Amino acid sequence: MQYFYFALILFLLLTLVAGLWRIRRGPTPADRMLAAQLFGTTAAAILLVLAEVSDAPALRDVALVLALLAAITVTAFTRRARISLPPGDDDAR
Amino acid sequence: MTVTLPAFVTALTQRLLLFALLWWLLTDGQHEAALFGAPFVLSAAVLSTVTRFRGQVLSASLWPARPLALMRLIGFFLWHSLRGGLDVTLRAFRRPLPLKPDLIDYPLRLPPGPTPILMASLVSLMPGTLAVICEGRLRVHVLDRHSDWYRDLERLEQRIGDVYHIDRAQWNDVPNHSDHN
Amino acid sequence: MLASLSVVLLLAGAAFFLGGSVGMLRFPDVYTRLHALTKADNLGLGLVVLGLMLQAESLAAVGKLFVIWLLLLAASATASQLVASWAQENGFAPWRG
Repeated sequence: MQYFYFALILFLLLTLVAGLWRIRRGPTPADRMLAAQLFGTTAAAILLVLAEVSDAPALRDVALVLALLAAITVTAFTRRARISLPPGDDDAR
Repeated sequence: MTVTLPAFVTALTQRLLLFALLWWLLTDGQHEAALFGAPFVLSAAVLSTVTRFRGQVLSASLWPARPLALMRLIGFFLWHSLRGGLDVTLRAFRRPLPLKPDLIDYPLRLPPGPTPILMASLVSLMPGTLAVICEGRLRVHVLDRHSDWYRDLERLEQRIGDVYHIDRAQWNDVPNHSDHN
Repeated sequence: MLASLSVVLLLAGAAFFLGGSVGMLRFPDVYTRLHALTKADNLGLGLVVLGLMLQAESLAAVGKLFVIWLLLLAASATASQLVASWAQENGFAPWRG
């Protein structure tokens, strides 16, 4: 049973690699933000399984925090990007 | 809005139960935590109830008016998000990709207030649709413009309207879309 | 019995996570990728949570898993809508087959 959980965690980690690839390729900033969302959900799933297999219920709280941080990251990104700077002022960011 | 005592007590009890349950869950049911939680659960419940009965437009809440209709909405939503996940997963593995995407205006019939926000959030989990808010209007990105996504969204909207007891008379007029697709 | 049902749910959940990632790699634009990510990953998470609930040590743990799923669902739906609206406002036209 233990091995099953570890295999599951490894598998979920591999699906996260897709997110890394997407960050590299882009092409738009929004595509890169998708990776944040992917990490939020998948990492939460990994942590929840880990909490079960290693008998550490506190990891569930970590999953919760991680997921909410991912949501805040996306929100901050969309809010910030909406402030349109005048052209040529890009290095002020 | 006139406040009757029974309505107030009911609303307060509901909130007390909900908040106490949440605190219990978040603290893993520890007894020591309950001691600290009790005053906050109580004050949060009282505040929430008082705000609810102020009756201002701003405090219009998402508190469901009809529990039975809420159950039906949840069931409807769970079933369709299952369908949605299955649909998009199958599409991801097909070759060539079976996608005919389009971005289409969706004329909301729900009146302004909190319900369109709920609608926009649920749309993205329905099969083949993704909510895009543009200049305060709801647009829907669809994976397959030939699927019957429109009917699903209409039903979703109706279910949401039922939960919050929204009069059909209050619904915005929308030109007949039966000729859609 | 309960344990095998739990394994089935966890495997099904993993399959949807894979589907979401494959969609994210293969789909042609940000909107379609959002579809894959939001729907498949949330369903995957739902199934994983359901599978773990069957194994959870206490009723409080079951409830907590449920609350986590609910919060993630809300966060993910909101995030996908924000990204899609951002892409629309900044003039990224959707891909049309």
